[in-house]
Amino acid sequence: MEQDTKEIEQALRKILSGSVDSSVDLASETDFVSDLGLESIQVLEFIMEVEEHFDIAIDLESLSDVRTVGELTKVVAAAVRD
Amino acid sequence: MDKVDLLDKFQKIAANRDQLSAVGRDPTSIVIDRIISPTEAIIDGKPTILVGTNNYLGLTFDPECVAAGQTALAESGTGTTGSRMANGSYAPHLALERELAEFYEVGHAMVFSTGYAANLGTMAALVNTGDVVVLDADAHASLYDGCRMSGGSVYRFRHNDMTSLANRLRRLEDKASRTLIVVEGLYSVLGDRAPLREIVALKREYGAHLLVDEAHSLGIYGAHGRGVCEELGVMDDVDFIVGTFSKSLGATGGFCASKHEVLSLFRYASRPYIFTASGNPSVIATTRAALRQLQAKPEL
Repeated sequence: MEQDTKEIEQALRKILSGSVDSSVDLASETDFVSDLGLESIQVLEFIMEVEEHFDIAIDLESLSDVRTVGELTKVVAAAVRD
Repeated sequence: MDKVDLLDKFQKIAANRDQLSAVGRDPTSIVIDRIISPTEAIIDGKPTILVGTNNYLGLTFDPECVAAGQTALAESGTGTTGSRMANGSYAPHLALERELAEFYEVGHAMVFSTGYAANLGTMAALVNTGDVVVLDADAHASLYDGCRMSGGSVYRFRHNDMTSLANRLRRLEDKASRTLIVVEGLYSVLGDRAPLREIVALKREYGAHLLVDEAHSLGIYGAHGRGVCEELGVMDDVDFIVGTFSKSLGATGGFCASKHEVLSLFRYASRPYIFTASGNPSVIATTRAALRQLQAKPEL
């Protein structure tokens, strides 16, 4: 389980590196908007890439409280288990 | 922890507004002093071309539409002052629904007080908890809001990307049969059209249902002006068409048209239909006149 979470976080970092300055440190508590400066539309685009990477579907309701890398990791982990 | 006030959030909105004002004009501050024609107005004392208008057929000053509105205003008053559920329908509400059903050759139509309410009301009635919406990512805000109000699970697919849509439907497995695919015929912001033939093929393959918003394509596309569904020859495969009277028909209000008889039951299940005052008599009258003009004058 912990291994799964690490792998997911690593994948998220890799996908994020395409749109975020590589010098920025990404931690579980990193906030997509306030820390990374992403616009909400960029967050939705990023999540679409995440869904394609893992071949999962995340419904919008599950994303309503997601603000950080760690929170998204949990949602992705749940979708992967489904 | 700092205490947050209910009104704090408006500081950020005010900052955004100030940024807009600094680079040009805050869009909420534009005042049309006088409208001159369907596409021109006086703004800041200057004649201005309204490039942002949705007055596609120029019917807002059509003499027959204006006369129909004036007659209805004199005969039926300024407003209905209540919802159709609580106060009853005026005969012209029902006449407009019949005329829309005939126009689309689908059998059933339902009128809402605004186009926004049409999308909210249709989706809220059609999709419930346990159902699924698969929505084009660039769909209009009213469709997103309809999704939220519906209580269904909502998944986006990449705009006009059939691989993305197919992947979404594939992942749904046995839930595909209770899935509504939601797209626009003509996308308002991007100006491109949905590949409806390919979407219909996927809908059939997975046994889903399809809703097409023709708000910007009514009166513009298709031999009879029914929209992109007609233009691409897929009318028979579309389950629900939604649209608005506020663009090519030059009025306000919205509708849903469908080949499915259940549409008539939406009247009992759609809160945006039940809890809104019905369309004003003059507005219904100008909409009916505009729909007649659209059919009588294909050159529009």
